[in-house]
Parts: sequence; C-alpha cells; structure tokens
Amino acid sequence: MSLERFRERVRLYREAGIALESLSLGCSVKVDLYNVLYPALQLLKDEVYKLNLVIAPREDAAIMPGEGAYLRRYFLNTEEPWLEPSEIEKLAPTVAIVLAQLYMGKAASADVFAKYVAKLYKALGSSRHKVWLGKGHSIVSTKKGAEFFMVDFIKAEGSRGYVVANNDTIQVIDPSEDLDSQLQIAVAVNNALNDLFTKGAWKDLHIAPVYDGPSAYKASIKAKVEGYVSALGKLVEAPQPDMGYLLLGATAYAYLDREPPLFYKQLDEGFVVIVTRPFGELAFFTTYVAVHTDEFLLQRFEREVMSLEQFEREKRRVLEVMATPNLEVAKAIYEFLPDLGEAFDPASHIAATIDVSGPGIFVFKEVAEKAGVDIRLLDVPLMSDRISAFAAENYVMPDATAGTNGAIAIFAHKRLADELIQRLSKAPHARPLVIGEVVGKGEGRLVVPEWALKYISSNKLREKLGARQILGGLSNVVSRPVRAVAYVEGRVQGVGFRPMARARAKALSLVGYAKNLPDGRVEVVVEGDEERVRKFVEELCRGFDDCRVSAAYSPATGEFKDFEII
Amino acid sequence: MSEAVLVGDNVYVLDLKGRVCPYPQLATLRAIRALPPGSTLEVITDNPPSCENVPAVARREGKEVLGVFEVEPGVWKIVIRL
Repeated sequence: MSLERFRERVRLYREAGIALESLSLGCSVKVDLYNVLYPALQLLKDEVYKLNLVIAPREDAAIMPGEGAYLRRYFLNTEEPWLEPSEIEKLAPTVAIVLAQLYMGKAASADVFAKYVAKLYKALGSSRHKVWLGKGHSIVSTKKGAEFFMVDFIKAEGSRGYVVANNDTIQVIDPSEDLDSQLQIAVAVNNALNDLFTKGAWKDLHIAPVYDGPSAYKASIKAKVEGYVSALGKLVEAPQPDMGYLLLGATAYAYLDREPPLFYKQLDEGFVVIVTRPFGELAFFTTYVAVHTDEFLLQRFEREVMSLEQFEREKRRVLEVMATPNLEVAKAIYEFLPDLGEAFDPASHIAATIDVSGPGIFVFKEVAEKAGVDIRLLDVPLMSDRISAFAAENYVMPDATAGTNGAIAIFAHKRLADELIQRLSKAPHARPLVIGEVVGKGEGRLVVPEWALKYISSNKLREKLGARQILGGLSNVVSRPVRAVAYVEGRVQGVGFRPMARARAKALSLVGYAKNLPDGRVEVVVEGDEERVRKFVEELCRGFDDCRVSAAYSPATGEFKDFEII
Repeated sequence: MSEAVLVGDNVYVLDLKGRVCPYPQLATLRAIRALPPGSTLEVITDNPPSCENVPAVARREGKEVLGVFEVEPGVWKIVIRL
C-alpha cells in the first residue's frame, strides 16, 4: 500500500522534471563545512584582505545595530558574478546575506569552491562601501544549470537595539508530501525563522520568501508561501530564482530590543546545556526514502524497528512538530535576556543559544570551541532513538542526530535551569530538559556518552567530536586577534555614542569597553579579529556629525569577557 | 534504484552519477551484498561526499577499498575488492 503510494510519488516528481534520488534530503544539502567551506575561507583570507569586505563572526544569524530594516535582493551569475559598485554605494547596506546554489562538483574541494566564492566576494567587495557579509547559506545542486548567487542586502536604520537576520533554504523535506505541500512550506519557512528565534528575536518579523518549482506548481507554491508568511509576519516582496527546480526558504529579519545571547566568554563550570525538545528529525525522512527504495532495508526496518504503518504515523507527527514555528520558545528566550545596555548576570540571563537543526549534536562542539570550554553531554534525546540508530547503522545518514526547524539549545547557569525549563515547557511541542554541562574552561572538547556514538555512522565525524579545535576554520577564521585603543573627540559625550559603540562591538563579536574621559573625549578599547576590529574603528563615527577618531593597534591581551560601558 | 552492471572479467560498474545522499551508500551496500566475492566493484559518482561515505560503507562491510580516482573533473571512481 505504502510502497505503491511512494512509487506514485516518484513518478509525480519525475513528471515534474525532478529525480527524487537527486534531490538533496537533509543529509546532503549543504556544502561540507569541515572539509570544504572553512578551508576555502582560509584560502580566501588574503583575497578578502584586499577587498572592501568583512566577514561577520559565525552565528546562527547576522546581528546588527538598528531598529528597523529594509531588504533589496539581487541574483548574480555564478560564473561571472557582477554588481555595479555604484549600486552598492548608493544602497550602503548594513549586511549582505548570501544564498548560493552551486552544482555539487563545484563544492567538491576547498580550492574549487574557493574559486567560485572568490568571484562572489570580488563582486561584493569592489565598491567604496565596506560590505559586511553577515550570513552565508549554500546548497549543492545535482542539476548543472540550476545555479545562482542570491544576495539579500539588508539596510538597518536607527540605533536602538538590534536587527537579527538570516536565510535558510532547502530543496525538499518529505518527498512523500506534494510538491506544493502546505506542511513542507511551513517547515521550510520556520527553519529560516528558527535562527532568529534562537537569538530571542521575534518582534516586527519581516520575511522575504525564496521559492522555486516546476512551472505547473509555481503559482500554487507562491500562493501558499505568501499566505503562510503573511500569517507569521510582514511579507517582503523580492525577486525569485526562477530555475524551475525545487527550492523553499526565506530571508527573515526581526527586531531585538534586548542584548543578544552572545555571552560565550561567560561560560564556565556551573553552566548547563538545556534543549527545548528532542532532536534528530531528519532521520525519519531519509530512512523513509531509504526503506522505500530498498526492499532488503524495508524488511529489516519492519523486523527491527516498527511496521511501515506505524512509521508513517510517527513521521507525520514529526512533520507536524516541524511545521510549528518556535515562536513561543523565542519569547521565552527573550524574557531571559538583559535589557539594552544591561550587564550579563548569570542568575537571571541566558548566556548563549544555538539552533540544533542542521549539524545535530555537532552544535555543542561549535559552542565549546567558540567559548573555549569543554562540554559534557549526559543525554542525547532524539525524536526516535530507534529510527536514528537504524539510519546510522544502515548508512542512511552519516549523522543521524541532524534536524530541520529543530530544537534550540540554551546555555545558562544551573541556578536558572528550573525557572527556564518551567517557562519553556509552555511552548507547543516543548519537552525542555537539561542534557549536559560545561565542565570548565578548556580547548573546545565535547564529551558524549559512549552509547550516543551509535547515531554517528561516519568514523571521521566520530573522531571530530572528541578532538580539540577541529572546527579550525570556524573559530580560527577569526585569525589574528588584535587590540585597538581609540580616542574619539568632538561632540561624543551625552549623544548615545557609547551605547552605539557597544551595539556595534556586540554585532562584530568584539570585547572591550567605551569610557567617557574628563576632557570630553571617549576612550574605546576593543579586542578581536583584526579585520573586524578595523571595521569597527573605521565606523565608530558613523552617524555622529562632530566626531574624529585616532587609533593605535597592538596584540590582543585577552583580558575582556564582554564589551562594557564605563 | 541503480544496479551494478558486469563490464568485464569479474568487474562490475555501479553508475551513481546524479545521485546524492543517501542513495550512493545504499546502492553500494546492495551491490556489495549481491555480487560474488572476489569480484571488483567500481562505483562512479559525481557527489563529493560519496568519496568519503562509499569507501566507509565498504570498509565497515569488511571489503578492501583499492582507491578513489578522479576520472574526469568532478567525477570519481571508487574501486572496491569484494
């Protein structure tokens, strides 16, 4: 029964010009971060240095100072990407958010991928306006013609608070659903919002959808996407790729009038890891497809795990969970963030958050490295441990803990854990629980329970879990940490100069302080990645009429945990 | 699902071009189980992660991976002794 239906689906997709076997399910959709993307960024460091371009710290979302924003979208050819420099200068965007869909052969190795990324960087970094590359998202495509760079320029306005922006786009979630399935559209849009929600940003939500599909379905996809988006926030009209290939997602931005949870340096012994619900959603969909294309696997699945009927019911339940936006979780996170300008207090604030979606269990590794701590997981709660174990054992997925629009992980002091869990449990589908702890300052190690390794079939990935600093590029794309001591003169006291400096420093992941001097000047000391420090100093006076900066650079001392106003 | 084709003396070719995760791993596993021991299986792929995943499947099934060769730009041949 189910097999027959599935074959019909395969036919339906094929008639629409799409081979189901060639669609990126979650296990293949992204450019390999560890072997391709980060090494490519390393290769491009010198290139970037020559351009008027700066790469933002890796975060779930781009975070920039501002109260509101507008978006302008461009599509660039991947072979000869070009953007009129005067156009960039006129627009003077605060950040650029990039979605790249490249043929998979071009994402094969760091040097080939770097060649294409370099062209894009050149197109973005050749104007007199310094472009801040806030967030990149790349998809590999099996179709040679279906390639593009989509650049969403976001221009933030105002100076109170933060604008948080992100793009996430997928090809397909559940191929047993229709091409224009409402549930699938909801999952894809929610997945783009989830990174904003992770940072506690949910107010004044704007969504510029990205969608594409075979011509027979396009009108229906457009209507459903726009309907869904309008129910959640404000629809932002923008051009679409129009390649006739399946694509669903969005660039979204929201306003945050509190301090974002970027207090990585505060993490230490005494902090715990909380997840809002179990994760590992993708194992349901990859396993579903796998058992329908291989009778041997299907028999084994029914013998060892569950009947196909039960599997269908459970998969549907998981899809419904994913189709629910994590808006209530975002509101809960927001309640535990410091007010604008307020200092972090471990007794009442969340220190850090991360979206568990894509890389599953590896996100904890990412936080460990970024914060310079060691993390021990005591539990790895999954939507179905049996299905994830089956997926890993049978090579269906290299990492069966991965998900889409998944749980959010929260790092907070253990004193806050009970209150947080109580608040989080009010969100739909939430099952919040403490799953681990920060062991203390360290080299970025992640310790997982021995039994959890059964969810990871790739030996290479297993090795990475326990190693120190394997994400290399990730924390080390932040290469040379420097210190800048800047003196700012003019009319800079009593005009909101220090709060603005602080917001910009937070957005660039810089630490230090801004202090009013008795002689009317402001002393600003910042530390962090050299290029970001330079960008910060160059833009210190932006928005202030009577303002002059002089700065001196030296090696960083590592003495700061946050950026403070003194 | 793609099937391996006998092309020479005990040499089978499994062409998986255009296929992405999880198909290459699964098709390789099927071929490993179906083909006679001692034969050679050549998996052709244009999906970069498969160059890592497919040999991993073969090794975990106790087979020897003789090599991964780029036969043309962006296309690889993974040779497995069954």
